[in-house]
Formats: sequence, structure tokens, C-alpha cells
Amino acid sequence: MIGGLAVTGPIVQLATSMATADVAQALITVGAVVSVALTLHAWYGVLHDRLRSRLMHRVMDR
Amino acid sequence: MTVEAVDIGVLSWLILYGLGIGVLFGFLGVGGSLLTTPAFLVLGVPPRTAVGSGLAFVFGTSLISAINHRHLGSVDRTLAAPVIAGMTAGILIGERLVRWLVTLGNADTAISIAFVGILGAIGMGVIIAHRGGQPAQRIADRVPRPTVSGSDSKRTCVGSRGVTRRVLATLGFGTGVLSGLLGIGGGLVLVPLLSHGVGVPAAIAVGTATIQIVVASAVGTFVFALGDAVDLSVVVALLVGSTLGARLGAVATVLLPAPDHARYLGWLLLAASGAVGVRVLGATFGVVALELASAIILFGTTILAGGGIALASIASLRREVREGTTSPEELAVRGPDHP
Repeated sequence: MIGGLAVTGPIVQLATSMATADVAQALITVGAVVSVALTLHAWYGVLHDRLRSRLMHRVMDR
Repeated sequence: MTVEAVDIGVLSWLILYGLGIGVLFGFLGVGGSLLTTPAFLVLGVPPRTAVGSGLAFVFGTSLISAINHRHLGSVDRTLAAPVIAGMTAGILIGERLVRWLVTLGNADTAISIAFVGILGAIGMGVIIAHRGGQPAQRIADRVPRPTVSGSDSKRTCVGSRGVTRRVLATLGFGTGVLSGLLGIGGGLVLVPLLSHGVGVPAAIAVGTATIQIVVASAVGTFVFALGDAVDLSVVVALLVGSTLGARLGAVATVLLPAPDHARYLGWLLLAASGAVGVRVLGATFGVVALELASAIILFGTTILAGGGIALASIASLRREVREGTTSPEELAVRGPDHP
């Protein structure tokens, strides 16, 4: 998520300072896709690790 | 950028559909984006928005995939640069073609027919090539190799033979036109061209193609968003499902016995081609039942195929744990961290 914000932040800042509204809007769209993709990647990464760790503990306990 | 007020039921279906696409993409390795734009068209999204949103979805998924490939070190920058240049130019041309088709008033039908042809051709090609378990290398032997020309200084050494940057840029351009016209990533076209046509090792071809698709689809998303032809609500819904599905699909490749993955993909593409074809017929002759049937074929096939792979994986994991054939160490490494 931090990665997503780090990328999106400057893009949004740049976009809002642009004169053309269309270009600003298009840049915000690209930034939004980057942000959502990186955030989902990070969330599911954490979920994946937790599930795997749980599963491993269950097998070890048997 | 458009954020339409989409019905919560439609959003739920899109998340589920994204999950199915993700599982199939993770399991088969290719073809996820080929099922996205047809779904938007079947849902009645305007053709230009369907292509733009398809490219935005490709951008999101390929970005995640590229992060994983960067860790694996499977990206050849010398190879990537000319293909990226060609592909970006191709996407811009493809976007112009869509714009032109919209002004003619038959963009929906033209794009749908192109999808029927391309999905059908690739699907049939994959099935025929892998008939009777025939190995993929046999296709490589039959694919004509690009002629090496130009001076050595212009030649970039890739794989088993040298090839000029111009040839690489042309390959990228052709793929880019398809991407810009249909809203697909182009991996299914670009990877075989690089590996079988140019002779790049398969792992490098996949990793490099992913980087090229990220850059080109980012440009495509930007260009389509300029014309307000990207619907973020449907893109985000699909990304939510597909990102999780891709992880499940990647784990499934380790859990399930190695089947003939390519033939599964071939049949799936044929089903998608049939679904879009049925929709074109329904729209042409004004038969609502056919349009409904196309949605059922496309969504049903993808969700059932993805769900089948997920359920088979869970059953396989349970069986292994019950029989004690899976050690904790194996379980610890099983399932790629970055599918």
C-alpha cells in the first residue's frame, strides 16, 4: 500500500497542477489503477502468508 | 475517467468473474485479458469504454505480474526496449482505429467479430497443436524464423540467434495494434513470437513480455482515459477478484497433477469465441434470448472452470495432508509467494 501511495501521490500532484483537465483526469485514472493494483497485491500477500503459516502450524501440531 | 453507479449485484458478479479469470490466468499462465473485453461487451458497455477498461485491467494485472518477474530476474532490457517502442506506437494506432469505428457506428459489431475470429483461431490453433499430447516444441519447428539483416551494431543478441531491433519493433507494433483495438494484453501473441519465432528462452520471453505489456497498457489506459473511455468501477471490481484468483491459480499449479494446460486454454478460448459470436447474432437479429445465452456461456464457463480448479486444489491439499504425504517443509515452500 505504501508503494501504491508513493507512486500515486506524485502522479496526482502532477495531474492536479496540469492545465488541461483531460490530461489531469487521465493521469489520475492511471494513478488510481496503480494504487488499487499495488494495494491489492500487498493485502493478498499478507493474507497468503498468514494462511500458509496457519496451515504449516496445523500440520506440525498433528 | 468514469466511475459509473454500477448495481451492487453486477459488481458482485464482476468480482466473481474476476476471481474466475484470475484462477485461470494463474493456473494456465496466459489469456486472462482475452476474457475481459468480451465480458464488458456482453454486459452492454460501449465498445470504446470496453476496450479502454480492458486495457486498464491489463495494466493492473500486468503491473503485479511484472513485480514478481523483476524479483525472478527474467527481464531482458535490450530485448524489451524496441518491442515497447513498437507496441506503444501500435496501441496508439489501435486506439485511433477504435475511434474511427465508433464514428462509423459499427464499432461494437466490428470489435466483437474480431474477437470471435481471434479467440477462435488461437483456441483452435492451441488445441490442434497439442492434439495427442504433442509437445509445443513441434510448433516452434514449423514457425518461420525472422531473417537476420542489418549491421552487427544494430543487432541485438537474443536467444539462439540474433535479430534486428527493427524486427522486434515490428513484432511489438503488430501486437500493440491488437491491444489498442481489442483491449487485450497481447501476451498470448507476443510470448510465442518471442520464444518460438525469435528463439528467446521461454522464461525470459514471459518476463520481458510482461514488462512490455505494463508500459504499453499504461500508455493505452492514459490515451483511452483522455477520451473518458475507462470505467474505473468495473476495472476495480475485476481487479479485486482476479488478484486473489491469480494467487489461487498459481498455488493450484503445484497442487494438481500436470494436465494438458494448453488444451484447457484452447477449449476456454473457443467457448469465449462462441459466446461473443452468439451475442453478435442476438444483437443483429434482435433476439434477446441469444444475448442472454452469450452472457451465460461466457460467465458460466469462466466461473465454473475457475471454481473447478480451486475445488480440485482444495481436495488435493486435504488428501495430501490426511495421507501425511505433505511435510511442513514442503508446505512452507508450496505456493509461490509471488504468483
